[in-house]
Amino acid sequence: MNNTVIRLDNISYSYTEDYNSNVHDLVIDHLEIKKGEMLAIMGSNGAGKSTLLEIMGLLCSPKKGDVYINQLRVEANNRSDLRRQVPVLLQSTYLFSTTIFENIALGLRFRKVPEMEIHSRVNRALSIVELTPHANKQYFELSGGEKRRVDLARVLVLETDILLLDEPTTGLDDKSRAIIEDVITELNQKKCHTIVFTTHSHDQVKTLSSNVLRLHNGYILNNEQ
Amino acid sequence: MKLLIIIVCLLASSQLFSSQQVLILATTTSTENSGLLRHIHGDFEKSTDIKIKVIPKGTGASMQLGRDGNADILLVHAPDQEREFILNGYGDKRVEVMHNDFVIIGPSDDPANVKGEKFAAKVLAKIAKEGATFISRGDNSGTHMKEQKLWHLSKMKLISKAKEIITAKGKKEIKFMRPVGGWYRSIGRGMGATIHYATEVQAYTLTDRGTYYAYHHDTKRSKPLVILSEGGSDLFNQYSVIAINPSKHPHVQYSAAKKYVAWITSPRIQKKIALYKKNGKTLFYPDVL
Amino acid sequence: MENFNLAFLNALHLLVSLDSEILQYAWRSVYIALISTTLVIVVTLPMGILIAENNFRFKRAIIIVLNTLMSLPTVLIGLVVYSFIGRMGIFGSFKLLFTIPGIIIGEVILIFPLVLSLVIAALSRDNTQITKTAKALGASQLQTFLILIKESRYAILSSIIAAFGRVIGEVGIATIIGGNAEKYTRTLTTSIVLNINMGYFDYALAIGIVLLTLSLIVNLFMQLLQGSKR
Repeated sequence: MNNTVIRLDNISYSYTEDYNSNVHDLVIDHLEIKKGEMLAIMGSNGAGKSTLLEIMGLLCSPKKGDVYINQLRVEANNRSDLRRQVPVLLQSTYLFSTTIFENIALGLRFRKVPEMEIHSRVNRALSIVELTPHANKQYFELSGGEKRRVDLARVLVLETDILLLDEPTTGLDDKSRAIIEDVITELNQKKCHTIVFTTHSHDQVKTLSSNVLRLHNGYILNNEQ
Repeated sequence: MKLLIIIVCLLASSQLFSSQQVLILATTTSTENSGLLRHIHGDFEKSTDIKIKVIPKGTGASMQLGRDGNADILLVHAPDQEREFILNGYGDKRVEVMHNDFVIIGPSDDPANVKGEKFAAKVLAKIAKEGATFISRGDNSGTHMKEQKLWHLSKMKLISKAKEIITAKGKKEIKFMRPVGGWYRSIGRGMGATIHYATEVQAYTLTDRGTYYAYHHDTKRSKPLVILSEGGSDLFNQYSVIAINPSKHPHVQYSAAKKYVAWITSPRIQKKIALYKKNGKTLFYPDVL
Repeated sequence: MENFNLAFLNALHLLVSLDSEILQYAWRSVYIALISTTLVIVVTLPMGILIAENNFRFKRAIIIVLNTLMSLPTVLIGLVVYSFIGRMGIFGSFKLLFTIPGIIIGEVILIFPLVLSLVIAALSRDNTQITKTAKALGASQLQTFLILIKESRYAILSSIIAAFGRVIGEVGIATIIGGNAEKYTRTLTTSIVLNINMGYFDYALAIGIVLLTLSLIVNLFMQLLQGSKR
């Protein structure tokens, strides 16, 4: 039985329409991510890590090539639906101008989850990232690390089997980093969730015992086991 | 928030539903400002169930509305232009409804010494010779048209400020006749504003009697102007109604317009017009009684 | 006109006695401003979102065009619309001349460039971030649209207030298209001009004060609306 959750075939992404980028085109011949895998994508700045993650998260479309999520090929008519299976923690956190609780609940509201269930799931997510006392605070009242944890909670609360995280702990205080790394580990080892994240830190790779994929100038260097 | 949207939608739609017949009457600003129409129109609306929409513009603008078919009937006071209007086929016929008179007002010390002069044309000649300041409405209104006619009769040297415009029927000329000299000021304003200006600079001007009577004077600022010439036959001010010709504009409400004409010339309404007073003074004299 | 005091007293009297004529004119002014603003906002919000999230060069060109259109004199707009909806015009058969809906058409054209450029500015700030974050959390196209508006709501509300103020104080279009017909299309602004032309300056000033008071009330209400969304 095929347990590939994300598959990329013949992907080519061009940055020429993007004014701010000086990165080379991203080219991926073939990439398969299996269920329960913990994968770290590494590479220097501008190598294409965020873009690769966003392509997997169906947030941007490659110029050519196919993406498969849970063995379904992504097309125009199923894009929005499949996107809900691959939530992304973006590199920079944008909190919406409302309470912490509502920020976390947002993704559930998009999915029209019933109110009672939203309540219990959000509270659960809050306790996982250790932010329960802050639930009713406004988006601007937290520290950088706390905001990042809210961002993580936003994604966790969706309870998907796949999580895509772009530099989840870069620049954070030790406490926040530790909490986030613990959550990620637990999700992967206890619940068999597939986690793909980008990082600069070899230490983190070690802590999370992940496989590594190295990107350089838009190409995959090698796939270390 | 949703409630707000619903309210707005209801409000918006309210404007779209009204099947009442509305007669569009274009008239002069002085007629509208006299309050006469407000006084008598209720009677028409009640007896015929036709509403009247009064558009107050200058006589010239009203006639243009008539030419464009944007009005159903006119009530104006420029006989020469009216005759030309009918000759060109835009109007049905002129029906004289009421009259009053113009007067020439000016500063009480009367620098051009016109007091007692019966003919307005001669008054203007004296003003021109003396070079006394004269204010013209200069706005293509009935009063302005009368004023130009009087200048013509005064035999003073006139120049025309003409503009050529190209219309569907070829070139047309818009001409304002005016005497020569800096003492003549054309301000392009309504009657009340013109009287105000003339009072400020203590100058002569031509006005209809009604507006002069109705004008509030602020005695703290300047001396009021007084009537220096009245009663001359050339100061006669004739108001007529003209229904717009349906062969030129088939959509106009011709039968409603005819009803209006019949109504305003009926003895009952003519009497009402005669009895209308403002500040205790009669403003209009009926023609049909 | 040292009679500011007199004008204020007159205005107060008009307001307190709920003078029926003034009430009618006031209602029309508010109605026209309300409907025009609503119509324009409904159209410019989606347009603004499309433009804001697109190509930088394209956006710049549009803003230049909009800024130019904002210099159009109101009487010119009034004249152009008049020629379209007057009997001789293309839309003559709709009988829109000298009606409130006719005025609304003119006002909509007037404030459209203003509101669109304000909306684009309102949405441009964190536009990409908001859209990306919303999509990453699974928002549909419509949900993204709505949250974009929600996040920019203060700036958008400012645009609405600006548009409303522009329309309620406008006189050129209202006069030319509306015709200033007493019981049908006379508004606060057109009656101010009328009274000025008749020489009743103090009364005109009093009406002007009534207009300002009305505007103040509406703005207070809008502020409360903004405040409650904390």
